[in-house]
Amino acid sequence: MSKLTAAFNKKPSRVSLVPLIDVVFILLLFFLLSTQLNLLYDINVEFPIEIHTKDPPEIYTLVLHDNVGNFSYSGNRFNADAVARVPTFFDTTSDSIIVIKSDDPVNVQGLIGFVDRLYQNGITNVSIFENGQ
Amino acid sequence: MKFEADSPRTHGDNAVIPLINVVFLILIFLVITGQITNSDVYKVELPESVSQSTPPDITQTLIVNEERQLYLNNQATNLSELPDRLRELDDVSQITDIKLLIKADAGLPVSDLRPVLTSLREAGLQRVLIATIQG
Repeated sequence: MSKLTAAFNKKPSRVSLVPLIDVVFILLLFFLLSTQLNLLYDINVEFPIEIHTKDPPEIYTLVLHDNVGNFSYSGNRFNADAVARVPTFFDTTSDSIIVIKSDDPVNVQGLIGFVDRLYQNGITNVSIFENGQ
Repeated sequence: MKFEADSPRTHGDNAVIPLINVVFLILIFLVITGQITNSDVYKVELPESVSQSTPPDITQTLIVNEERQLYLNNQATNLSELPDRLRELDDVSQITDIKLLIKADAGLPVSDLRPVLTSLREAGLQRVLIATIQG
């Protein structure tokens, strides 16, 4: 009888939250390990560069000398800060193409940095010189 | 008036609820913002750029690492095989339709990237994208 009374007086059992927390933590770990935030690789990655064009009206060639951004145009050497003056070198309103030739010390980061600065100065029709061009 | 004190067990469960809320919020954030992608077979250090444009529907990826090794869609290839491998892609009707994202190592000399561009142009591509990260 005392056991029966004790059973009636016992508070109703509660659903334990511990397994739920376990599952949620496992899901969290899975997503943390298996996903890549877009910020790392896919957002801000586009860099369109024409490598081949048919009969461009005008081709202007800039020679990039180093990773700092020193360059030459039409035989005249300029330092990296002079990129801002590039739009004054030629008529950028036409369908002209600006081809960048790179000297040997230049790496991809140096080239992209230079193209980046051209973009910032309004020059977007940029191409990279490659052997057959 | 008599107040019943909470049992220690009930008090412990209540203390965990904010933690569960935070964990759920993190989980929802990751589910919404995260994207499950195939990790690259070879990790390269991408060049930094201030460009903020995003590549539209890039399906083909060419990795060029600092050792000048090529991986087209995570499969090793070389310069001579590259044009044929591009033509053999299943989901491309014409080679000019290919939107190719080049993941070139930031430290790779441009002189080493140039033959790759030449090979792509000779294969028929008219445009490529070079992957960067925001610097």
